[in-house]
Amino acid sequence: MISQSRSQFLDLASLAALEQKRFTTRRRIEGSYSGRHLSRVQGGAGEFVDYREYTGGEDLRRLDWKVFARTGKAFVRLFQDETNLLCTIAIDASGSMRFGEDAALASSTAAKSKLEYAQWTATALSHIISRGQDQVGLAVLGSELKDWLAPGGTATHVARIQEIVEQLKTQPTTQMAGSLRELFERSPRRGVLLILSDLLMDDLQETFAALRLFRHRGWEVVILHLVHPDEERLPPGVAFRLRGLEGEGDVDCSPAEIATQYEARFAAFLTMARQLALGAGCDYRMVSTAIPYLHTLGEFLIERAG
Amino acid sequence: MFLNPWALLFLVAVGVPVAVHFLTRPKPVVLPISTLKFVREVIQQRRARHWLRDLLLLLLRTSAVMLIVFAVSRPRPGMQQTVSNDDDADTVRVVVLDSSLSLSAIDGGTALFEKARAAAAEQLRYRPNLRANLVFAGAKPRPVFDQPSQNFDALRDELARAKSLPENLDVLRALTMAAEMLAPRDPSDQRRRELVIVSDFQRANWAQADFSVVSKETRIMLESVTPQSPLANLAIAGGRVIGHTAEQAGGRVEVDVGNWSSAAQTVTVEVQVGDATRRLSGECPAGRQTTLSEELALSDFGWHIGSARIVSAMDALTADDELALAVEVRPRPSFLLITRQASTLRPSSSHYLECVLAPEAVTNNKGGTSGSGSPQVIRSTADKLDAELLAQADLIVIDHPGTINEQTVKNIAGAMRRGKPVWYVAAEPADATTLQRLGAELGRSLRMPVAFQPAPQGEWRRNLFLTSVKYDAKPFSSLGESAATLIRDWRFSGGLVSRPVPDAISDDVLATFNDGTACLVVTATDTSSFAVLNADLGTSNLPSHAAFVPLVEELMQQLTERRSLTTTAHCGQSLLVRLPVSGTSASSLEIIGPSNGDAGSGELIDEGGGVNWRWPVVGVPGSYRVQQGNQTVFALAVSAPSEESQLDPLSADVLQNRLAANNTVFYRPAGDSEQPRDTLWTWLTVGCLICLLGELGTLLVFRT
Repeated sequence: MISQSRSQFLDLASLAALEQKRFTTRRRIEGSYSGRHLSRVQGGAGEFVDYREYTGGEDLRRLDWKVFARTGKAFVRLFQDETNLLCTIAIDASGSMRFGEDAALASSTAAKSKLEYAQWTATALSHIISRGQDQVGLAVLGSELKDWLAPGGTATHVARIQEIVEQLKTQPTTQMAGSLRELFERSPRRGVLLILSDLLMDDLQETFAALRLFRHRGWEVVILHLVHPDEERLPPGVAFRLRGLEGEGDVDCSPAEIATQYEARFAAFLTMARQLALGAGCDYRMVSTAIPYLHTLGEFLIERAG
Repeated sequence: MFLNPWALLFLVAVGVPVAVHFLTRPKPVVLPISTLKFVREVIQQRRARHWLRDLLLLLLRTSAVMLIVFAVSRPRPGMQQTVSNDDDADTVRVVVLDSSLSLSAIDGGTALFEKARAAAAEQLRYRPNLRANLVFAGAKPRPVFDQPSQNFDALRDELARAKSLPENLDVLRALTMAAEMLAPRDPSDQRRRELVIVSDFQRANWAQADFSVVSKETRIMLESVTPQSPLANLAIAGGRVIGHTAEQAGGRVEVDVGNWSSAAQTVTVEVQVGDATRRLSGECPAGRQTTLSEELALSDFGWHIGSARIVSAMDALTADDELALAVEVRPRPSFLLITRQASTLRPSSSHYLECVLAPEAVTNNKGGTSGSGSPQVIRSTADKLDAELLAQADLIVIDHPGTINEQTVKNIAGAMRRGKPVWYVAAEPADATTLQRLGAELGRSLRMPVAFQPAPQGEWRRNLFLTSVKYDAKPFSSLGESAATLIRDWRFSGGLVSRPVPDAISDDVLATFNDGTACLVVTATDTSSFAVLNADLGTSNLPSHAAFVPLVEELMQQLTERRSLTTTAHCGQSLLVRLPVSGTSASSLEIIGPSNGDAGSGELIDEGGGVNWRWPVVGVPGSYRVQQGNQTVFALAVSAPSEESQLDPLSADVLQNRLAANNTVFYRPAGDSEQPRDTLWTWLTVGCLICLLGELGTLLVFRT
């Protein structure tokens, strides 16, 4: 499939090395079409996997007559269907994702903002997933579900996704649970929910409660926790007026005086986020924006491939 | 208050730490951050700690600056706040040095006056642009110069020669004199004015102080020389020898002993009067006067002098342990009855009076009126009255005298000036004229509450009864509770009509008739007493009542008691005594004092037909005698004022607040020397260092 996207975040040359990799899932999934992923449905096509005693009412076409004739017992043959992947990429569009966009203030000039990092990653993922004949959708999360595109596999659809990703704007919100619930309600079929977020929200518990809904329905939830390196520690300096990116106001402080406590607090946050994610049955991966997204993406795909 | 007041300008530096605190606060760099809530959580834990640290640092730095500024300005509380010898400001200073008797008290072997002298000398050191004067405050203030001067040598010489006097302290006069000296000469006179008072601030004297006479611009400094612990003192506050007349075989001596200490004491007083000596002893409770008495017989007529002295007194003030006494043992009292009624006319008004005055006998004098009574009553008609008769009488009774000529009225007025009491029974219209002329002769010294006039023509005063009587006053108080019952039956006739005199003392009218006229008036002159009974006793029924005799005797006693022949005087006061002598001149008299020194004893002057003893300022205590040849014609006991014996001081709070009258009065207690207070700056410096160390400690404690 030839990409129709003109997104600035789509670097086909860089992605060429990753085009051979596939975004796979460890669980069986539901798909619309035949594909490379194991389907939750064990129908009459695909690869034979097992026998099972016949029970009344089953399709007689799946009865193994040869075995019935030889043994006198009725068995049906089970075949593993393969279907395509329905992946919804959910991007956190809260204000905190803008952190790092002002490189002059950041200690690491190499690091971009989390949002930009998410845009690069989401664009690349959408490209890779669509290249694997899978369907990819998009959800932009904020206080409410801003944009949502149901999973699709056409080049136009992917281009639309990448266009939306390119034009993504943040909003000063600290809530995300509502938009996730709305996404849950709009998604009738099981699939993979890949969340790109910094998890810096006030309703973290409610957010994971919403994710548990997805898991309860059988979704596979993958959380890519974006962490900017400058978030892990405060910049050196005597006096800063720290201004919240989500409209929380200003705080004057001397970072040097609170550096240790801050780092401990942030580490505690990372630990808590990981525990919450794993507790909810999500696949959690902390991603530092200091690492190039291609490298991160490669490792992620390899890890997914098992 | 400050040695270097200019240094206070640097107090503005107190704002420097505050300014530095705010100016050195780093300008914050605005940094968008996504984890603001984590920062907030961390800061929340440290905010109180930082706030406390900042506050402590600010306080310590500010305090350090303040303390160092005050240390440089050299604060001097107390005296230095008001009076300074260290600056060059144009200053007028008056030092009032208490020279009263109480300053003679000994504290720790040193008289309080010596301490006062040293304190005053401190204020009389030479300084350019300082003019000063010294006022010795006693019964009368005695300034060294009329105006403040720069002749400090003379002031110090006078101060060195000064000593405490056996006088009381007239605070108001001293303050008034000081205020006059400190008053600006003209509106352009803007010199600083300082009033320094060095005293023991006795309660008895200073309770009357009023600083309102001193201008508000004057700095008032009170330097106390009173020791911290109160001084115990015993004193003879008064003494008298009473009951010595020829009729009474013996009298008594009474001595008032003041025990102004904290514990009761058994006090023995040795009294010596004439040839008689007595020892009086008794328990004297603390904090009050106790009267000790003993019988004392004086057989000889005439004047006797003596003294009362506390034996073995161990107290702070010895000058008041002895008191001079002077007493006259007089023969039986003699009465001069001036009347034109014959002694044989019985009953008559004069007969009734004579019977009361001398119930045993009536004598006939050379005046020619007949009588067979005792020699104590001398009858005389007015036209035959002379000065000798008047001088011999202890009480002059005038009844139905008829018309008295002008010279006789003058003689009677002269006798009154010399202390002879007069009882006038006004029965006839002519008595109104006599009373008017007598009043005119005595002038302002006789202030009658009513003016007597003859009854209108044809109006006969009779059946008058009393409607208003002062039962609680003499002589009616002697009648006791039955006075009202007794008086109800009294009926009076004759007499004069009276009308009140404006602005006169109406209390002197002791009884009033039903027609509103005065019945009995008893008033006092400068030197004697005067009574008017406004009725004709011959036609009244009063003499027939049993109460008549005690009433008249009480009245006579009242009049003779009032005879104010001064026999005591206080040091420092002015004295005028009209000597009870007649027919002599001042040149034939001599004053003999207790010492032969040149302390002075006043002078004798022929005035007003008699001899007066004038003494502008009574000198040293003791007994003084006026002698005519070898005969003592008068004696005077001079003593120190008893209020000087109470040495307890007035509290500084009362002086500074209640008596200050809105003046700013500073008080420095005794022993509060200037030198220790001048070390305050060192303590301020130490405080500054402590603040700086505290700042370091705070930084260490709150280090991050």
